[in-house]
Amino acid sequence: MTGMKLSKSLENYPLISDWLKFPEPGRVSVRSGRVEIGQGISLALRRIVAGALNLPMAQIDLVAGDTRSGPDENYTAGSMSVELSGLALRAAGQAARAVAGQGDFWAIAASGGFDVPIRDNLPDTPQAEPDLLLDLSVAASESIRDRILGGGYIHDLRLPDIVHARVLTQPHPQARLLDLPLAEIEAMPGVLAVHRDGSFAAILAASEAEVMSAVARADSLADWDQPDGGVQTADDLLAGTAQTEVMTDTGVDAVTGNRRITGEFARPFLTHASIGTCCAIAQWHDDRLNVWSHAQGPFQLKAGLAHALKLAQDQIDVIHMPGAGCYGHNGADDVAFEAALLARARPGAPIRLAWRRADELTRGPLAPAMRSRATITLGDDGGIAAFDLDIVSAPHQRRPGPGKPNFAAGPLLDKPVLPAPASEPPPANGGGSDRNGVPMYRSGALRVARRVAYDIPLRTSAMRALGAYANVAAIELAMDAAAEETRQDPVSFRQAALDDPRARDVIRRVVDLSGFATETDGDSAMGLGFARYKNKAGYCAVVLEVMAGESLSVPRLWAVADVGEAIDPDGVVAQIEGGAIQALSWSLKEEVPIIGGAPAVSDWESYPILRFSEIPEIKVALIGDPASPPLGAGEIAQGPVAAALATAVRRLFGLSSISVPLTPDALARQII
Amino acid sequence: MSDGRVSFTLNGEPVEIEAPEAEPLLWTLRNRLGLTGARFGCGEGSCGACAVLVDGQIETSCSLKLWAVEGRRVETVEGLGDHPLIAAFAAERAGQCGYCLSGLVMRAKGLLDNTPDPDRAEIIAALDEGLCRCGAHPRILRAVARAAEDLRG
Repeated sequence: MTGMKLSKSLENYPLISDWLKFPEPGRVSVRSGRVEIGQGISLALRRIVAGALNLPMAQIDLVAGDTRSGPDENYTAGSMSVELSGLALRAAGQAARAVAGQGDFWAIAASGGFDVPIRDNLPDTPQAEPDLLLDLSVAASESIRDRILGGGYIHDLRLPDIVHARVLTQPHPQARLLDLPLAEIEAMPGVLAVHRDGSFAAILAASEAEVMSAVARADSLADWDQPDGGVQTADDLLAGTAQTEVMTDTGVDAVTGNRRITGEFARPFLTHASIGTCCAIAQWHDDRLNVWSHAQGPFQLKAGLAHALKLAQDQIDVIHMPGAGCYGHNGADDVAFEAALLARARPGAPIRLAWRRADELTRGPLAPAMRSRATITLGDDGGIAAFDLDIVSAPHQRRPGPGKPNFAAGPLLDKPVLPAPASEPPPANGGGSDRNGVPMYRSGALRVARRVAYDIPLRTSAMRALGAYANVAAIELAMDAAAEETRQDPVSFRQAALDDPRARDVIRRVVDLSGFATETDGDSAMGLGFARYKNKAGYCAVVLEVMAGESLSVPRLWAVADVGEAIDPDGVVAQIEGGAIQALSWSLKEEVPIIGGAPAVSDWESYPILRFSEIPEIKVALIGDPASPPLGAGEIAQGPVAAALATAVRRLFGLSSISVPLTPDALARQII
Repeated sequence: MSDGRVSFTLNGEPVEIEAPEAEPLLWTLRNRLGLTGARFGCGEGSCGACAVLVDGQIETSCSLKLWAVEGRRVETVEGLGDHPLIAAFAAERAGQCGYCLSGLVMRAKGLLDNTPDPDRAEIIAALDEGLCRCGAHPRILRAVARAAEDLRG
């Protein structure tokens, strides 16, 4: 091994030919379990293989997320794709090049020469790689062009004799369908069948226009028994959580000190809110099920489907196709299960089920509401004697998988398929609500504790950055307040508590770039936020400017990141820009109100997101050593952006506890 | 929905189609004519993923009935393969998942057809009814400005 860490992916799939195929002269087919979810991972992975094989990117194709071939690499999530799959592919490519020597890849592949372990064939010294920045730029442009002109989304897949399906809107997660006048709906134009199983109901029709008309009519005719009740706040819903899990405690209680500073940040339930709705196509034939899906984990979906449908795993294939951006665990798995139920009931025809807008906003998992409170105990020297983080949250992990038939429609069926209990991602994956709960700042003692409402009667699961968004904001609010208490500059106060030079560098650079200043004229203020995502991925520091007016606005934002070797530098910049805009959208506008136990949003009017007229001007700079290992970059901005916003709002209004979204009404309530 | 014959111009070519007249144009384009550039997002005309130009004006095809385009000029993104807007979006890498892009490109086309030298505020105003969730907005604004420059030569 030449300093290259063999990843878990490689332990499970040791051979060069597990990853690289050479199907025809001039073409390389890359197998990866990581799927394209709008984050540009396919470009980065193709670049890595092209570099390792010393071939142009144009010769490299990626076959990702097909359970009929290619490695099972769990989920495409948590910004781990380049770190895991990317390094595995680089090792496979380097080993292939070493095996080939001066020989021809395709001739060697044809004779089985790549059916050898990667581990035994890595070169002692890294081979020179071609400069692929131009290839990368051309490939990125082609990909945008293809996406604009259409044809590549799961929504566009047309199979012969396809049947269009829509599900009835369930008005409440616990609502029971009492009556549905089947005959009246079946008589509508184009309707092929009304499928009902318990409280799960769907319309099947020959055309999309007809199925949309019929399901709207069915919605108006369906009689549901639903619980009622008033508005419930996130705090109410999380309040029943008694059990405290102490994630780490190095003796905070032993620290004495009477100067305690707190920063608190809370967010409500949110939804992923893709522009395209969840969609799946399922076909049942000869006791086999084929599912086309945009799920993040095709192999996990397959395992969950097998469990829920009581099928053997080898009776199911899941084929990944791109959907709209998913931003975490959205309804992609749920819609696939629903399509599979319909396909089983109507063997032969491919059933294409697309959700409607209200389904998209409420039927898939919500992002967890969460409250994070950071308490700093100051020592006599003005330094941080103790850091105490107290987290209250809904759970972040409800994905399907082996033994986990976790699908929205499961509990609605006549023979209910009940989901596995909700959980939190393990610390090795960065944790869930406690993600980034451990500050990078040096302190005498540290405690991180969480109370997770595992049995909350709402489906919540992962959304980008998970707990890092609120935890980083709470930590940075407390850091700003502690600096003020000790009459120190907030930048120097942070720098003095950071041992990692890369952390200090991104902060110093973003301060230089933005001209960060602590003065405020009462109408505008700047804020600073920093984190290293999961304390092991990319470093990111953000400064932004907030203006008070009829509503809060953010006219300018600067971000500096160090992700080590950026495989696709412009792609990293795009992820930071996008992460910043989405995090501002959550923070300024978004909330799923819970009324009578049900998520109460149905359209873009009730769930507004940030628009072109509301986005800041954004400057992003990448720094760091390009020769150091690549660090995950897909979710590094959300926490620092929330923190920069929170610290600016604190500076402007004197708040140390902030609840988002900071709509004009919500802000007014908090200032009073 | 009664069937009827509806004639209109689609990307410069005459088309005549027999379909229920009350069918939303989006489904006619996608499922009868095989043009998948316009996309379903909300079905209520509030996200713009399905936007097309009708006689040069932006319309959301999910909420426009087929009969309403009788005798009119419909433009979809498929007609813009050689338009500088596509090249500019590609060059600026203006998009992530890409789902919203075709609608936003059509909004930009509508703007540039009438306003060859738009300032930033005019570009924002033209795009503002269109939603993007990935946060590609800054690049999309740059791409439209770049296309305007390319068009002016």
